[in-house]
Amino acid sequence: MKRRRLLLLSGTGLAAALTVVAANVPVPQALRIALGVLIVFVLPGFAILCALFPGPQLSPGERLLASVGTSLAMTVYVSVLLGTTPMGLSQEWLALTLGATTIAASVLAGIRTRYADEA
Amino acid sequence: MTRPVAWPQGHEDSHIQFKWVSLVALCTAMGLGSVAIADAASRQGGDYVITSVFFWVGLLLIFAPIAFRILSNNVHPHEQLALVVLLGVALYVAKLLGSPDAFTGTDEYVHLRNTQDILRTQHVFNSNPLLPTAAFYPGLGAATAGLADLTGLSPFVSGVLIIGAGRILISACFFLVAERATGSARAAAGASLVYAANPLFLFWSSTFAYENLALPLAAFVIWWLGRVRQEAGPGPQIVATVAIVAVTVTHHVAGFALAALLSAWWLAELVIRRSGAELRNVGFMAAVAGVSALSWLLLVAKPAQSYLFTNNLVPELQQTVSVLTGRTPPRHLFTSGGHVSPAWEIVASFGAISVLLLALPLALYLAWTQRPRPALAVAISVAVIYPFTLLPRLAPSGVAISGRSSEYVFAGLGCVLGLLTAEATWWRRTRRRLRPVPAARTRWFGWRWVAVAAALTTFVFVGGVTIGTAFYERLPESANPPGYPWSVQPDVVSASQWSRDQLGINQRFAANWIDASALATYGEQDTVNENYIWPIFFADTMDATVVQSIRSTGVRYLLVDWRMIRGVPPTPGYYFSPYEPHAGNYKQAFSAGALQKFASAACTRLIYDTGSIQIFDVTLIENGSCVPALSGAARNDRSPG
Repeated sequence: MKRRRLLLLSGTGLAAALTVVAANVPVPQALRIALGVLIVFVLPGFAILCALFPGPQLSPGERLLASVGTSLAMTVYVSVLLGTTPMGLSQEWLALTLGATTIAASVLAGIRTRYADEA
Repeated sequence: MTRPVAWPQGHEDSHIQFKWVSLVALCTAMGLGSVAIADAASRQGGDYVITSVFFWVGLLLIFAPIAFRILSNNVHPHEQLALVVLLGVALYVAKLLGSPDAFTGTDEYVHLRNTQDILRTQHVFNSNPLLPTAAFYPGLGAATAGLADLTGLSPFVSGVLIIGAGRILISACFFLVAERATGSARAAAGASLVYAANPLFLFWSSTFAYENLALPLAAFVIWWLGRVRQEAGPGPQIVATVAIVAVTVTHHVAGFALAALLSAWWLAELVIRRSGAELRNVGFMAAVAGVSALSWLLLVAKPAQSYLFTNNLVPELQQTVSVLTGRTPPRHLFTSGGHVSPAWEIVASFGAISVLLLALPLALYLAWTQRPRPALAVAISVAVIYPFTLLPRLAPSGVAISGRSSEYVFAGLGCVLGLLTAEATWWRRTRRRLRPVPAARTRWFGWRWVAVAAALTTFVFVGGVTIGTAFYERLPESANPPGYPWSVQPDVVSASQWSRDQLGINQRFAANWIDASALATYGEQDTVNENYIWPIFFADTMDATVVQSIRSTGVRYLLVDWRMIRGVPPTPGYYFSPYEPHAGNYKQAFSAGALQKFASAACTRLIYDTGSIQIFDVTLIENGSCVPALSGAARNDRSPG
């Protein structure tokens, strides 16, 4: 359980990092679509939920549903926020903001998951 | 700490029956195929009677098998949840099949313009000529623009994905919330069926519109708070707050509805449970939702105040009262744009409403006698509103309130009727009282009740579809239809794109309200509110009224659609504005002479002409350098006749 969660979190962090990279260098369109869809609909929510609920509080089905809801809410929130700042809602800034949030949450979730399981 | 039951728990004597799931999925696929055939035939100008048979057969193949299966005995809750989501997605796809390559709904153009503006400027709060209020609720446009930015997909595909994710979210969350409210997965399945039968679910709730992202997020908030309300720490509140803010910046009514629902929940917790962490958590989130929705409306979305209250809510309620007190004649139901709905659809509509109204008292009684649950109490309080929401439908402009409220009211209505559906399939009548069906006879006895319940919910679904959308708007319109079209035509799209390429964006344009949608999106033009420009088109000559209207509105270009002289306008019953003469009461088509005046006036210049569509440059009139009444002889008549 712990190993699988940590693996998923590693994959989440890696995909988030790739999204940031893909926003700044040319990558195949299919990869760009896959990363974009994941960062908008799944990854930030999954990382945040794992950081906030590192234990078995949520079942896999609940975690998936909540990941979609939280990610969608995060995307709306971050997009509107960026759209009101001088930086603007650009591909680079959105990828950086969502990506950085996901990576930070993944790291925190990894630490908390290990701690929660050891406790 | 006790873990609350939130995710469906499997029955000990049931498991997912993949044979049934496959069979139901096959029926769904066949149903979608039938709807696709209907759409394709309609696009090619096929006979309405034949195309509509394919359409309805398709919808029945989607809805009825799922209804029968999820109401059956001993179905695993996971299977019920999966099939509820399948129903939501299938009905979303059924709508998409009608317009698979572009947004074509009225509201979709509004939000497409928002998205285009955000993509172009990289900022929110741009001016939206189609609906200024929409620019102040940029959640949908910003999220869609963000997805389009990140993936390189078009705004259309990005919007379809965002609303599709919302559809999955609301289908799953509503089932889970209903399960918590009723305490039964089967009742939740019934509730989901009733919710899917609300008049807007098939078409309106599938459109690319801000409410259709805000409502799923609101449903997520409700499910989430119910699920984690006993969890310690700030985690639940952090997630809920982010989602509440997302709802707030996405849609006005959904934001206030969420705040009202959370407040009602808090009140129910206070009355039933009186204390505890749940009471505090729900109360805090109700306060967050209320404060954020109100703050956004008062501090950011200021134009929305007059849009919501002065322009919509107050006049529609006044009109309803006027109809009820006999001062205004009621609206002619099932007639619009010279069309009258087929007789069987009128019967189905009234039948569906009758079924709901007859079942409601029994369902309310049943819900009332259940073990007190705060969530069920909230559902009851929402469900009792339903009969009253039907009244505005009688007023000429009250359809908006009555129709739009169904997305909210059916949530409560679904829960109490779902309870009735579930109970009815478990109980049998004996001489003295209702008794549970003995386990040995469940399969035989339950089958008949399940069939009745599934048939009734399917009937309500059919009636809901006939109520929610005018019959001639359910299937795509053929290109160049014989009368006045109800949707944007390809040649208007071409003219709009030409205007963008040749004239540049954000030019002041006047056009009828349908063509204005294309000009504002495909052309990215600054179309002027039709309430102010209709006199330009209605005058028989280029008189002082026309000149004054052009100058006061700053209009520089006119898009003239000669199809207006072919027929009366369909729903909502006007060419330009509800304030134009004969609005909602047209007996004959637009006057050709009124359109010919542009071609014969000296101060106008025809710059685009495809026969049906003409664009005139009226800059000389707008800037005052030419006055038509004082100009030379009229030019040759260039109207296509």
